[in-house]
Amino acid sequence: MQELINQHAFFDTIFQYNIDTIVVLNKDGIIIYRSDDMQPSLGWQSNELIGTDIRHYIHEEDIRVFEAALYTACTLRTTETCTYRAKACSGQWRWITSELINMLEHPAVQGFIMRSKDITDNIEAAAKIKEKEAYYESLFCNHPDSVTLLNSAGQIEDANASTTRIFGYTKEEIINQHFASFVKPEALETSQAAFAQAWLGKSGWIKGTGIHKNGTEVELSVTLVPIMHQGKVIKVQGITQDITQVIRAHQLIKEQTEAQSSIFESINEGFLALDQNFYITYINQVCATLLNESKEALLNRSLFSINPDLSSSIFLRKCKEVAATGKSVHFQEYFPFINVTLDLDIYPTKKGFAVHFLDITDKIAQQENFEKLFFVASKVLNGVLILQANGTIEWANESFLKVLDISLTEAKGKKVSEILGENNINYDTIIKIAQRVQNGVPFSEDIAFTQKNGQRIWLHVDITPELDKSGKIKRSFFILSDVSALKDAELHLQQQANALFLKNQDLQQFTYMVSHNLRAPVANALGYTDLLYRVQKNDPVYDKILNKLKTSVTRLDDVIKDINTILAVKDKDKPNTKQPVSVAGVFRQVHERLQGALAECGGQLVTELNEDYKLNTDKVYLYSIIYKLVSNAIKYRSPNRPLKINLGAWQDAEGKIVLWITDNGIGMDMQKVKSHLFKLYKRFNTNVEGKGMGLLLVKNQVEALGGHIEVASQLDSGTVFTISFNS
Amino acid sequence: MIPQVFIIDDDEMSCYLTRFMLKLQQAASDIVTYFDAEEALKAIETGLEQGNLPNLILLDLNMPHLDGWEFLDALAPLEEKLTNKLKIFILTSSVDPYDEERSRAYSLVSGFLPKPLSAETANLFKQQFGVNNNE
Repeated sequence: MQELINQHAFFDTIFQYNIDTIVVLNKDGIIIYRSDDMQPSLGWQSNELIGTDIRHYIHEEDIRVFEAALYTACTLRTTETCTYRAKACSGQWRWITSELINMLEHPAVQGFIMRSKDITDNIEAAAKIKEKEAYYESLFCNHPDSVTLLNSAGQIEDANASTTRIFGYTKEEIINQHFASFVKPEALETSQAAFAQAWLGKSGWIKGTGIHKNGTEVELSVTLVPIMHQGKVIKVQGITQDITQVIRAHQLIKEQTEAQSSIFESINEGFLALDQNFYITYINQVCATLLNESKEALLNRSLFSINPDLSSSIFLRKCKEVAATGKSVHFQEYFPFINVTLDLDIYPTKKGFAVHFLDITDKIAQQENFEKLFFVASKVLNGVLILQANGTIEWANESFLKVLDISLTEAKGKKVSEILGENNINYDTIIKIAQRVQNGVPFSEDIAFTQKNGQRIWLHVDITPELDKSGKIKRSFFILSDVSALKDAELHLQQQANALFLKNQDLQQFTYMVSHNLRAPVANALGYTDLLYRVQKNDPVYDKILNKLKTSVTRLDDVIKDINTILAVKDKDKPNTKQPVSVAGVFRQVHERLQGALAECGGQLVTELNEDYKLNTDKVYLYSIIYKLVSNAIKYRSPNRPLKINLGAWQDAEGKIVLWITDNGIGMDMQKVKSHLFKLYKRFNTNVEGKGMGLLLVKNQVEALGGHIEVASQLDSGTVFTISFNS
Repeated sequence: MIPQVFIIDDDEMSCYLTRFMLKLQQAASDIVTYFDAEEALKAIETGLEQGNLPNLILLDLNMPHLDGWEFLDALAPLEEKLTNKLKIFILTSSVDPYDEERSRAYSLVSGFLPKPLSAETANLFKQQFGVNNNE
């Protein structure tokens, strides 16, 4: 036994220099020896351990591992290693790795030598590394942003999954590419500058646009971080965030805000947002202008601080109503402090009220004005008519409607021509006015209008077309006034002027007759009377002169008679003797009367006319006119050919009856005779008997009947007289 | 005595009277009467060629066919040739001042006389044309 103890001492000495702990177990696992522990990690005293089962100190989870190793070592006689947790004196668990050396056969040992080492620190270090790896993994591989590792050349050495997601390339496609190939050219300069800064050891952040594999642009936020080792930058890590959605969202929000703001600013409507306490949270320019302050000054102010009157306004009441019901309201209110009337809408919002309003002050004023004008236009004695561009009636006032005896409802939408009676107005006049309206220029027109009772009145119409911006006619305004009295006066004046003109002409003619026709026989009589004094009574010439004197005085008497005839015809104020006269009848009478004269000269008279033609005229004058003209034709017939006279009549487009008489007589040189044709005692042919009074008388008679005579003639060819009468 | 006088007038009564007065006052030796101014015009044109013009023309205004004014207008182209060779007086029944005014526009017209021709006027002619004649 002493030997054994010596042996122990030997071992102890050896093991004291060993960092491992040596324990000897018997075949049942009971500790029979333990070396002095140099690293008393478990803290047990040897005497505490000797005689106890080793399993007592091993973690129950690790027992199996230990037993397996022990069994293997026992059965196979090998040396086995196992790692397990052992309980320290303090109660802590320590990781221990042990070598089990089977020395059961060894007579000195007869057990297992277990050489153990505390590896707790190693295991924990390993666990820490694992944890770091996981941490890195999560930071790099699973990072939601792109993480890339760039070398000094700017090439991508590593890239995480997010990188492939953001840029659409596979990892293989990304690796070894220069980062520039993923950057939009415009952003290249900035990104290269940031990259260079990172290589100088300064991390940086940039924003820019990248390019996806499919060509679309992606908005990126990039953080470049230098990776330092021993004071030197060895790599640069890039963390790239896809902020496209964010940017777009920002952009959208910005745009929407701007749009909203610009809408609120551009509209003519005032807009105001109030919170529940009636503080202004938004105000547009229209509203600010109305309140005569700047938007900034008004913002966040209480409505009642702007004007205390508002606290008793309908507006406030309505706001409260909106707050209570949650429903929008619409109303109008006059605000004395700014002197405007507003048309307001109040809508409930989450935080208060939204107020839209329109300044209708002018509109109301216009409305009032319009009502006044409307009243005037409706009641005024003048007719007022408004036509639309297509000529249909838009509105007419009472006066206008009364004249036509029609209601506005009946007249509306109809054309003027449709509501006029057939005989009210000349249809051509309507067309003429309608055409003139198209010129777009105001004008006036006097039109004759026959009323229901058959009375004809004169209407003065002021027509004003209204044009739109493009110059097209929008509508036209007609203001009609009854100017019958004026028109009648005007017509009367015109008639008087005409009469005066004719009278003046008559007077001139009378002067001519006096100075020439009347004065000639007087001058002769004077001359012969003078001669009587100069010749002796017994001179045979005396009687001759006396005879001449008598002739002259007789001639004077004739002239006076003729002038009387002429002037009698000219006297148009004599009682009206007009009656319907058959033109054909008069022609027949003249023909019968002159039949003898015609037969005598072998002349022929042909009449061509409608038997029904009738003239409302003086039959005696008409007969006299035709008789004289036919007589003249016979008188001035050509000696070279048998006389042919044509008498005719026709009605022209205006309803005028035109009579004509043509002959194939000697004719006249119109150039020469024109100015004298219808003068007293003007004869153009000295070979033919005549006083030269016929044509003047004819002319006066025609004019007395309201007609007009014209002549056309050619020497040695014939003459045509045309006489036109108003229908 | 005036060697030759033309009376142009369609009024026979007036012509007789004028001729009688000129004769009575022994103012003219040769008096030719034209009832148609056209014929008088022809005579003047012929007379101009043959150097045989009247010394005095008494012209009526109111005539058919060619009246006094038209006669004067027809003579206008010959005006230069006629000036100083003959004198034209208008002898008319017209007392219209307008006619007298109008006659002044014609340089060939030497005077405007109202009918009838008075003895005094005939004497005046006699003196005027007689002096000329004597030269």
